[in-house]
Amino acid sequence: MLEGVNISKFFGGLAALKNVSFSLSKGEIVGLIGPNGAGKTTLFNIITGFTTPSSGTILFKGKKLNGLKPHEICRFGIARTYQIVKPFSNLTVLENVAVGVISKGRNKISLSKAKIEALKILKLVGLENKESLLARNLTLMDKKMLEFARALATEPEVLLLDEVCAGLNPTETHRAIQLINSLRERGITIFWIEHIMRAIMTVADRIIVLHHGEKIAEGSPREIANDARVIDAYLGEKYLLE
Amino acid sequence: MVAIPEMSEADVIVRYLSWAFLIIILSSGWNIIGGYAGQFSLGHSVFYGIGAYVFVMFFHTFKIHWALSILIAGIFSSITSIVIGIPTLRLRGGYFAVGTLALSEVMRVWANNAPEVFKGGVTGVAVTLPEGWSAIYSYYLMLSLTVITIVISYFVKNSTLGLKLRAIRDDEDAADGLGINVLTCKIIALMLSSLIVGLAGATQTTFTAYVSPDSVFGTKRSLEMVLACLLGGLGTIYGPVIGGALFELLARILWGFPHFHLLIYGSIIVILIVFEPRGVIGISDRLKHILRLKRFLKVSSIVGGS
Ligand SMILES: Nc1ncnc2c1ncn2[C@@H]1O[C@H](COP(=O)(O)OP(=O)(O)OP(=O)(O)O)[C@@H](O)[C@H]1O
Ligand SMILES: [Mg+2]
Repeated sequence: MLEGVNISKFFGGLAALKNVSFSLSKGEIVGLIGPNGAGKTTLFNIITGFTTPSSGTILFKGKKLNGLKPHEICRFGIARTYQIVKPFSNLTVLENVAVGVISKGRNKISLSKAKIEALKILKLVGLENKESLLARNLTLMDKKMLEFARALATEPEVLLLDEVCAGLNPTETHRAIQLINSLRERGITIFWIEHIMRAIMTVADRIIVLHHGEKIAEGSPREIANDARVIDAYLGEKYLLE
Repeated sequence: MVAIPEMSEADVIVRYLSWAFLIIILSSGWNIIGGYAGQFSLGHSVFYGIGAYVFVMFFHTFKIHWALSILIAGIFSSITSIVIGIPTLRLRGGYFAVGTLALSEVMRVWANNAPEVFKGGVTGVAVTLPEGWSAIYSYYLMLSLTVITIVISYFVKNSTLGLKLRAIRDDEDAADGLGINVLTCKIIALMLSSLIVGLAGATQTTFTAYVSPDSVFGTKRSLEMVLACLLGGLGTIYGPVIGGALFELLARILWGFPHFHLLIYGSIIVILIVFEPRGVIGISDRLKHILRLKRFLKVSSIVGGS
């Protein structure tokens, strides 16, 4: 469904990504982990058209995405959330989601219809009671849920999640995980960056590990948890003991 | 020599109101790109001036009917905005503001030095109005344009375009990532904005009967639109209306201090941007909030005391 072939990215002399390849099949949840600065967000930026790769190709259902603008890629069916949340601060929660609904670009939809659609999506993430609040007044948890809702509003086939659980308490994390699981049931393919191992290890079908811009491992959560290089570079002894 | 007729009190009021309508139209027009979309143009006098000069060309030189000439002027201004918008609207924030400001200065200097394009060159051109034209006609024109402008502003704000523009204002990248073609939306907003400002530039010529590069392309005009909009409330439908009226009042008061007024305008812009970018509408919202809070406290103290 979504495939990256030999992606490299250099920022000046710094190699943020070195020959990284990956492939997601329909309906899969694939985790992307690795230490800070490993190049995870950079890979998402390349997939969504915010950053151009130094070399390599991104393919979505066989079509090349290179050179397309973020809005074009979104309309193809790839949506994302941001590690540093990017709400439209002066729009209400409902309006934030309506933006996602109207820009799907399939057929023209009126603003009032878009808001009805948006409300349905807010119910899905549990924000329906906060629909008329300005987005800037939300808590971090709610802002993250809003990112989710907004991305879902574009009706994506592939959803890229960049650290949706970071900064959330255990209860909130649990809610986020439930939401991600419910998306799997809708057949949405998910590529998910996360540092919270307990979350990603229980949900992901497969995990890819980046370290210094290189893919050092790929496999089932169990394989990854027992991979010597991964433990050495990222997980540490502590995770093994848990 | 043109004899200046004695003006009656009614004439004076008509003139004052016409000027007030003009500034309301201009700031409402500017608000579409500057307020809704958050693209802070400081060079909107370009569209105003183009409106005025295209009107002069068609009405004065080619002897086309005044109504048609106004329409052509507005459309011409709007089309020019595409050419201007494609390069400048890629710039972000301050760069866009400075870029448009520079552009309007280039236009002003060019107009001063190209009498073959801009009739009259540096000295400007006196426009012969139609036989029997009176200030009251200009007044009605301005009034109608004000109503049209508010209607356009209302529909833009309550449309999907308006929502896209407000999303772009808050976070261009996030909007792009959600499937919004940011540049196209900005260009459409600029076209609407420059259509209104261009129509106003043409219409004002019917009561000034005079156009010169400095009077229409000058930075002062650009700043006035921004200031009026900030005074009333950026990005709201009625903000520019209230702001335009307030601005005109302020301008009348400061009439006697020809150089001092720029200092006051500048200070007001800075104070509003820092403390209340939503102007009068923002302040009234805050007051309402405080009043509601007070009432709430009173009620709760009564309940608590009993
Ligand atoms: N626009 C940029 N210009 C220069 N360097 C950049 C840029 N974006 C990212 N980098 C660098 O590329 C490397 C990878 O960054 P990236 O944000 O992809 O890491 P990450 O894996 O998402 O880390 P984290 O877990 O902290 O979010 C880092 O060293 C970062 O400093
Ligand atoms: Mg990151």
